[in-house]
Amino acid sequence: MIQQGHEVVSAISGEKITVGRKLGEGGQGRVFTGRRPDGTNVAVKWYNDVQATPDQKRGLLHLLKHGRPSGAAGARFVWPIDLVEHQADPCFGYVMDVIDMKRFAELGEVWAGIKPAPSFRAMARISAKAAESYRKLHLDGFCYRDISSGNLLFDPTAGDVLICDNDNVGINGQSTAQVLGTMEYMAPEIVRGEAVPGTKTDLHSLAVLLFQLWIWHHPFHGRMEYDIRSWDLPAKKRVYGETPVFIFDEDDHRNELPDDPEYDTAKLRWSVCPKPLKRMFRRVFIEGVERPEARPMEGEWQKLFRQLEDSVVTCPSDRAENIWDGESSEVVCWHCRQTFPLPPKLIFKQGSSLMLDSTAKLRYRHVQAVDEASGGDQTAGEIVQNPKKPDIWGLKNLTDVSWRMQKQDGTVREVPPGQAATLSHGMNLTFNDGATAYVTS
Amino acid sequence: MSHVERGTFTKGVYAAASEIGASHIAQGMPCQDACKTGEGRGWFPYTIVAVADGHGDQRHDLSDIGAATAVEVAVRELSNSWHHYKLYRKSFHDFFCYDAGRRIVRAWRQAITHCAETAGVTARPGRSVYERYGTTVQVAMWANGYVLMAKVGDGEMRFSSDGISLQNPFVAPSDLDSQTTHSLAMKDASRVWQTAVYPEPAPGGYVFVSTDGLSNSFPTDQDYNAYVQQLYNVVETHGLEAVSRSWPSWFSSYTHAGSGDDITAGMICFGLGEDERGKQHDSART
Repeated sequence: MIQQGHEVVSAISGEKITVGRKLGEGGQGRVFTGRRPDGTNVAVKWYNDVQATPDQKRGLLHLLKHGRPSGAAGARFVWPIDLVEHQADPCFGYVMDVIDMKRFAELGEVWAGIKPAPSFRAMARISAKAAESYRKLHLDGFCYRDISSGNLLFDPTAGDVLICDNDNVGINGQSTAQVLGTMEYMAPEIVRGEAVPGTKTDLHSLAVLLFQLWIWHHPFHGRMEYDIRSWDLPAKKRVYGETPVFIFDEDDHRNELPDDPEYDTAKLRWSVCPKPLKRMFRRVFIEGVERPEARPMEGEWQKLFRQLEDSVVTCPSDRAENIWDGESSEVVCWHCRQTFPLPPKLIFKQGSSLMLDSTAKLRYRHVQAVDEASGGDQTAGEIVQNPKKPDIWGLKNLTDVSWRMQKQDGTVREVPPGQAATLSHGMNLTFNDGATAYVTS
Repeated sequence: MSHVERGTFTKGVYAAASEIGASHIAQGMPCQDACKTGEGRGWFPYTIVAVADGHGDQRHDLSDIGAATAVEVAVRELSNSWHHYKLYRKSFHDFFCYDAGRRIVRAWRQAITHCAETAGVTARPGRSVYERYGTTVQVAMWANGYVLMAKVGDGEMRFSSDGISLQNPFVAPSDLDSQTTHSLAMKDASRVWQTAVYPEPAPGGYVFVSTDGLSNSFPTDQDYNAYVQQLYNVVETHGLEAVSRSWPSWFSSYTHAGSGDDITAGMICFGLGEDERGKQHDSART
């Protein structure tokens, strides 16, 4: 086994990497810091002898040949950069980028109180970005095969995402999997032994992960799991594969949540879960367990979560974040239970909307066609308050091109970069690429 | 009152001991720490060391029972699950990381409910009955070439892969102040189950686990780490059986000079104690 101070050699670039201190150790091997000859830092994952198989090496080489998926969505994968070997060790490893573990969190760390819990807005951003990245991976012909909470890292504040442990990624429908996944996240057809991991089964695993992020619970852990005395493999097979019943299925109460404090958090979080998201979860965990083709695609998740991010409204009483459900004319704050009116909305031509809450951000994806490299996530505009007249709000143009504003009375004004368009009911805005939207209260 | 358990396994030796704290003696209170070990022999051997620290203030007046129940339940649940999963390494690791916390918390609550009903113990107004039994729990397990460690609440765990380096696999929660701990009595206890998995260390490696009564007897983490390393050096020289026999008196001196709290510690040492092999699991209450 390699140790601090050893030099490992990159199989492709041929550069020597000096192994630094051990960052961690797990079931598959160890992760060390590493230093390239040019002084840049990397991480080196070194497999233990059980994991360092020819199949694993072949899989890694394929990932290296393909390279990290492109664009902003692909950049979230902590992709292998090079294979590394050591003359005195028959095992091997790979080099990857260093992860800032102060910034990024695992869901388990949030549950354990080690890292802060993300807000609604951050959860929507994390969810949308995760869905977008898995979509990109699938479009490139790969499947992840082991999506779980341990592989998704997120910035609880900004909502950025990293997807790690990509050495299990394989070619959809072709490469053999070293792992079938983690049973909690496996699609029922894999648990039943009727399918192998692929893009369709990834969609189930992604849904379980998203459910855990929002509800802090497993979608099938209800009465059925609670009543099982011996939580062995046959029991797991029954709950996850043979009889998967969604805990919030309104028509099938066999697996509803027991009356036990253990379930209080899941009940509370489900009660404040936005209605469109509840519908999606019901679809994937009720229809989707029987018919894999009924599972929402990554693009559907992405669209939904972007809309949820744009539907965040802040309670004027306690500043708690709420998500407008897209239907009600007012919002009951989940925290203080007070009812408050909706702020004005910006309705885009394609049908989506942005709540013009004081914390809202207009993003490039709203105002122009999204380019793959940036992902359209940068801020294009923000809500500002008139310093002299606080009851007057505006939308500040943070792009480098002028917008066009037309008031309800027909007057037209240009909104140059750095300036704000005063918001009024009925006004129309024309953005960068000709995208249009109107304000409604 | 002292409690010591120790034994041997195919790869080495293990031991755990609890000693009542000086402040508890002064106040006429029981030891609110507990420890328990477990092992399986034959084709699929395993070793478990569990320690628990009852919270111990007035709100948790039965936490001595809570702690004893916690170690009992943790060893039982992990032993049973090992029998279910022993042929499937990844499945067992998944169980340990994703399920064991939930199952141990639930089993602890069921045991406490039964215990409270039998003893006629009721909850205080607006609180759960579990709160009166509040405790932490920490477990270290060796099985099938791996060391698995987990905890709910405070206390310290250290892993050494070679007898020289020392790792702390766990980060303290940021949502709690230094005087507060997560607890099996919390309604979200299963979510604060932290885990770490390591390949089995080479001979000379070890796992050390202790309640905060021991770590609080040292001014800094560095001092505690130095103590753990020194302790291992002594174990290497004199054997864990001899050292663990001395633990109650050592812990007694630490609690009198240091934290005043109950002290419990456990250790699994790899490649040590050849002379102790074959002896039966030894449990002694003095």
